[in-house]
Amino acid sequence: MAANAPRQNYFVLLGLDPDAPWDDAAFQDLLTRKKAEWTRNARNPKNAKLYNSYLEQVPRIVAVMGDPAARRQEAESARRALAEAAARRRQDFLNDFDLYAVKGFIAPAEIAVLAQQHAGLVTEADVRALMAERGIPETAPSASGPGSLSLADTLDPSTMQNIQSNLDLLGSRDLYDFLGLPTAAPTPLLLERARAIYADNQKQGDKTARVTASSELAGQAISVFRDDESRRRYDNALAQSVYDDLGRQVARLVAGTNILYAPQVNRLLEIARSRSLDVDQAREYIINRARELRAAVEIGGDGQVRQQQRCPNCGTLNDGEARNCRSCGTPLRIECPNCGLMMPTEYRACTNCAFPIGNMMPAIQELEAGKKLLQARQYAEAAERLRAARSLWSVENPLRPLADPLTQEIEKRLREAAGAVAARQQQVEAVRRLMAERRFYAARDLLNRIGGAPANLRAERDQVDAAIRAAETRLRQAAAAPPDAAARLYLDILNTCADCQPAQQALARLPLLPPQRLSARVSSETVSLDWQPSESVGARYAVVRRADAPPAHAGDGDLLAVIPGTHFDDLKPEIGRPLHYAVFAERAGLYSREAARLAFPVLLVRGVPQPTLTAQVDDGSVRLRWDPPPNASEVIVVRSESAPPRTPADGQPIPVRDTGQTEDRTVVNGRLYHYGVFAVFHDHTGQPVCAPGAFISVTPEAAPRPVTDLSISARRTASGHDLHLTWTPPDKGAFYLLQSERPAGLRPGQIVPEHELRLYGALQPAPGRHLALRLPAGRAAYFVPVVVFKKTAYIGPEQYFAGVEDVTNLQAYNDSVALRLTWDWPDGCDRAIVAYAFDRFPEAEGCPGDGAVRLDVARPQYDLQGGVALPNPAREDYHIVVYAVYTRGGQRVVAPGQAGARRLVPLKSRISIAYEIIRPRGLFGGRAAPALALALTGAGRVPPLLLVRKQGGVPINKADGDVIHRQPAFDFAGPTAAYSEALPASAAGQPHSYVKLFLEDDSLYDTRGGYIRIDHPLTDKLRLS
Amino acid sequence: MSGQITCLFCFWRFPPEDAQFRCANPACPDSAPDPEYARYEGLPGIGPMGRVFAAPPPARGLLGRAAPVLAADCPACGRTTQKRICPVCHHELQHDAGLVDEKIIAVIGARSAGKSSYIAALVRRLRNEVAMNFGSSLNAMNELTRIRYRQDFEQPLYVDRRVLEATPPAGLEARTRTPLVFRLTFHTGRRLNRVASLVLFDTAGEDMQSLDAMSTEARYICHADALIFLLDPLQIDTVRALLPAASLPVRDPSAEPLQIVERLRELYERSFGLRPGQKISRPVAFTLAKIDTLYPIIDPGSALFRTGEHFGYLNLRDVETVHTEISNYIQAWMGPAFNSTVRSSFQTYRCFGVSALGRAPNRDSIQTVTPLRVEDPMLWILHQFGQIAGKK
Repeated sequence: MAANAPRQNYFVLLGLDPDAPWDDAAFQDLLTRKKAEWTRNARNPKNAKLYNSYLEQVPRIVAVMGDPAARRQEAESARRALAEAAARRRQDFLNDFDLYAVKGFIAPAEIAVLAQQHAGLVTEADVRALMAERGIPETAPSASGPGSLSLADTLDPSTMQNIQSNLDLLGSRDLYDFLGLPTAAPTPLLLERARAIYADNQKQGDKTARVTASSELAGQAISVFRDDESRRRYDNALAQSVYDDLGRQVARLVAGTNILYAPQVNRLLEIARSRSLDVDQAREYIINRARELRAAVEIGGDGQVRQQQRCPNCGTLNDGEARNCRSCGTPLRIECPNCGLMMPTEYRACTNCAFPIGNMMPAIQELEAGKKLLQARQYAEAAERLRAARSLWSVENPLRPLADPLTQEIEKRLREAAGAVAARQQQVEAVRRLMAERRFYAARDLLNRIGGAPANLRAERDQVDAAIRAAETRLRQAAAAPPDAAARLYLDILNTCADCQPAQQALARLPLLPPQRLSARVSSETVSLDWQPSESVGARYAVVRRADAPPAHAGDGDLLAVIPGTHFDDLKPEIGRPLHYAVFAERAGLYSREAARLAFPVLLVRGVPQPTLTAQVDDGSVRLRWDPPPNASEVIVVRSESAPPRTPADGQPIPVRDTGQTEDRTVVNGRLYHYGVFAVFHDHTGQPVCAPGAFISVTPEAAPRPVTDLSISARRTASGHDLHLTWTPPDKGAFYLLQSERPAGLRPGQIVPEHELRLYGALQPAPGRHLALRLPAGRAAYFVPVVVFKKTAYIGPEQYFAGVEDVTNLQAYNDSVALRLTWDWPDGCDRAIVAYAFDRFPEAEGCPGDGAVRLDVARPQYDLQGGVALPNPAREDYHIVVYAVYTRGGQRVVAPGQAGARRLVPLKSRISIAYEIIRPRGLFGGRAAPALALALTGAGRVPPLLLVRKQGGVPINKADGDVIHRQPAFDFAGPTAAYSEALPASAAGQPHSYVKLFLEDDSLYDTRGGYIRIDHPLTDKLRLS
Repeated sequence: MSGQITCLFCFWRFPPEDAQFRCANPACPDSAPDPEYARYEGLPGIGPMGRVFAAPPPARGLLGRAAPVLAADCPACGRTTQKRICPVCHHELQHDAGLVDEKIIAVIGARSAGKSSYIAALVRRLRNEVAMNFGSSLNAMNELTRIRYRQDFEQPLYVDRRVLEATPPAGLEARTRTPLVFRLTFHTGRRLNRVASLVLFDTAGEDMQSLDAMSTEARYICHADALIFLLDPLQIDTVRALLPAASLPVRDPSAEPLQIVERLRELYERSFGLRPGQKISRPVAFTLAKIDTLYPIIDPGSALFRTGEHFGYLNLRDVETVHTEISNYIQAWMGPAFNSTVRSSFQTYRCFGVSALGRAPNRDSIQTVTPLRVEDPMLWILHQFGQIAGKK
């Protein structure tokens, strides 16, 4: 930033000769005089800032000049500065010399002016020597006078003066230079940069004169660049000062000769152009100025100046053919990334597409700044600068995707920055997570890895450091404490800093005694455990369970809980297996080696659940089903005819092949049988343990037949559909309807226990032969007919009804290359199935090889393509159905596909009818009675046709006139045929009567799903009279 | 090869050897502002442009026929340029100007008749379905056409799905004066294909509201080889009375089709000195737009419900059917005046019905674009020019 520009050299500032021997007293004396002078000058408000800045540097001057090494360095730097200043002066002289010499000679008066202007550097003799060296002759002519150009609407002079005094202090050329942006930079960017500098300066605690000047300049820049209008005024003021310079140059040049020669004019124009002035305006100004000075101006071609290219970066004028600036290497022409035209980089915008070409340099600067910030791992700031670069180097609605190298580089770096920002964010979240888990050591490691912790993690770092410092302080206390007190301290440390390894290690070295005297009580399916506490300080208890063998250590088995108390209820013990329990002492994640254990394992048994035991009777058989309990080694079924069996030995055993079911075929129809089902387990010694039994009593007889003729009819209502379901009642058992919103998943003929039916849907008793139901709009329902007999359900085939809307207005257009389908989508529908076949209207879902084609169509796909195309249509009759598909509560509902969702496209069986009215001439030239001439193409039955007549014009529909002829239906074999039907003489009717042919049945038009097309002739062939 | 070149900007007709050249070298020392170009562009001034110079004399064959000069060397910088320009307005010519048959077709009609939507749908249909049926292809002839078609027509209608904005009057927007130029190539299967250039002018409805505007801003109408005249049925009072009021746009009295036809007639009379009884010979396709909105009120057997089925040739029977239907509907809805004026003013004309969108937009958004019959008028015009065959 400008406030940090290099300071002035102290030898130069004090006017000391760096080559003179050092005299400390003389220095002190000089400094005292200078301080007095600066103090004096600082009283003038105009110069206050400049001289105050000198005064602020006095302590530093004393320090530097008082230190021999620093003074030597300063003297060396002063020599360089003085040499550069001398070189600049010499260059200024040479520039002026060139200006005079460019016309081919220098007049004596001009030599005097040159020597006077550069007094101290050259004399008239030096000028003449240089002329001789360059072969420039000395010759005559003469003249003088003032001149000016007034650029209306400039910044007021006092503001410009303030700006200039601050710029002088900071060594900047103008506000653009101060902001570090080119003159072509967009106004918003200039404003943003000025605000950034202002904000930066505000943060600086030391308000030196340079900082103050920088702040003032930033404020002035904010004011100047607040909008384009204000900026224009500043630019005008800048231009005014350039014009003033130009005017001074003109005055100098004509001072000797009163003539401004064409090469001099061109040289001045070059200077003007290099300083962003318009060539034409500058030319006009030079001429006016010379006229004011009463000097003649030689006018020559300025084409060369116009062709020169101005570098947008450094202002150097370059040859018209140059590709890069000869001074700084900046490209002078680039291909517009938007439209591809080659454009000079000095333009603000592409002349073809308005792309902001002039933003190239600021965009590059932002990109470079972004790259540096990336290297410094300041990712968020880098992303901000890169976004600024993108904003500068882009345009709304580009003609094509921008792919120039600068855009690519910006996008690449943006991706890099975005990735780094995301990664940084993840790391920050990880730090906060670790802190929440009190793992401060891990958090500190991560913070160190992040490196250069961002400002927003400063508080976290402080908190982490504080927690670790506190832990380490107490670690030292614990090291000196007796074992019990030390254990408490270590536990306390781990409570606040969970990953403090020294505390964990120290705690591990302290003895941990196990609990004692574990006992167990079993009630229902719960095991209650109790034990005596450990004698160690801070111990908790780990309850471990293992089936079939005792746990050897805390990790050997299922760790049920780690608790501080001495009682635990195992609410989910495993059924049917011997369970061994052990309780270990636990402290800070470490377990005692020994444990309190049970003397014998615990075994819990469970009988066959009574509700799951069902019996399905049939002719001479009983099939029993049940859910076997887990880990049962076998199931015993016994039958008794007198009373339910009480034990496995109480009745006749029935062989069981499967642990979940058996079938008893040794029964007689009509007789009552009692069955008992018992599950058997084995304890840890291998002894069988029998669980309580489940019981059922049944009388076998023949099963009922399922209902297979359920049918559904529907009537649409305002709120949905009224359904009417009918069926033939079963010969035995009760009839139910199982209703669900999705397929029940039951097969026809399947037999399931009655109590399981509710798992498949809502069960509704349905006595009689029919049932009325109301289905809300947009819903679908599946109905399964069920016959329940002796607690067993017999399943019939499922039926489906969808209460959703079909698509409407299905249209088919034949483009030859494709059949194009369009339709109107119902509300809430975003998918459809297009199904077609040549012989029938197909169902929505079929099986492979059923002769139908089905396409799934998504609404966006339809919208994108403007319909659905069936490519390369065959010469067949297309029966097309579009099924609307809905998703309702996760369920796929398919509409019925009726009426407006169906369309026949008769590419094979279409009949085309062309016709005209013919009025043959008679033998003597008179007109005979009119006749209807028909030309048919196709084959099949032609339906009844109506010829409608109207006076004064052709009828536009059947009702728009009188039917004067009805042609009955007839067959024709095709492929073409011609008929003529004489019309009665009275058909001619009134003068200017016309006819038109219509189908009696509108539904037979091919545009309406039928197969007939009528082609009408031109109007004069429809005229009857 | 066509004998004459018509400049698509100033409509000056001249022999190919009169075409001039513009130096394309940006570093040419003779680059300078071109006042003629600026004047025709309506610009107060213009930056340096390439030097304009006359073409060298063409080489002549044995029969004295001049071979076209397609490139020339700049006398100032010596660089070869292929930029041929109009000798009058200095606008660049198509690179093949004078080499292929060039047909200027203007799409005209009242404000909101749907001209831009029609062009958008037409170009797409010609590129896709029609191209497959006729073994043809349609390509933009210059970058401006490519960009303008994509930005002003295709992108908003087919991608953004929004109703196209009104075309600005030519007086306000130079782009309106600039045509879309396409090359239509019919693949013959032989060594040489048949080609034609289609030059489509999209007229602003405002430019049709007065004879002055038609003769200055839409002067290409006079120079068009054929016209597609779009009629908005929703501005016909009878139609408005038959349709639900909610679906109707605001009535625009200046969109009265009969007035525009009368102005057109007068324009031709003035421009070409037509005698009162003399008919205009250029083919004109009177095209009823937005036919999808008419479905509720037209006969169920109407041909407007289906495509034209031009399967590699112009289906003349369908053209006749549609012409009869549309002219009868126009007569029924507007009275006989329109038909009789058209009949007495134009020698070659047909009536057509098209729907550029397929269905009315929902406010400003369009769900799908399903154009119907948009290619019919253009195929009929191409048939009139002998570019495609017709069959009954």
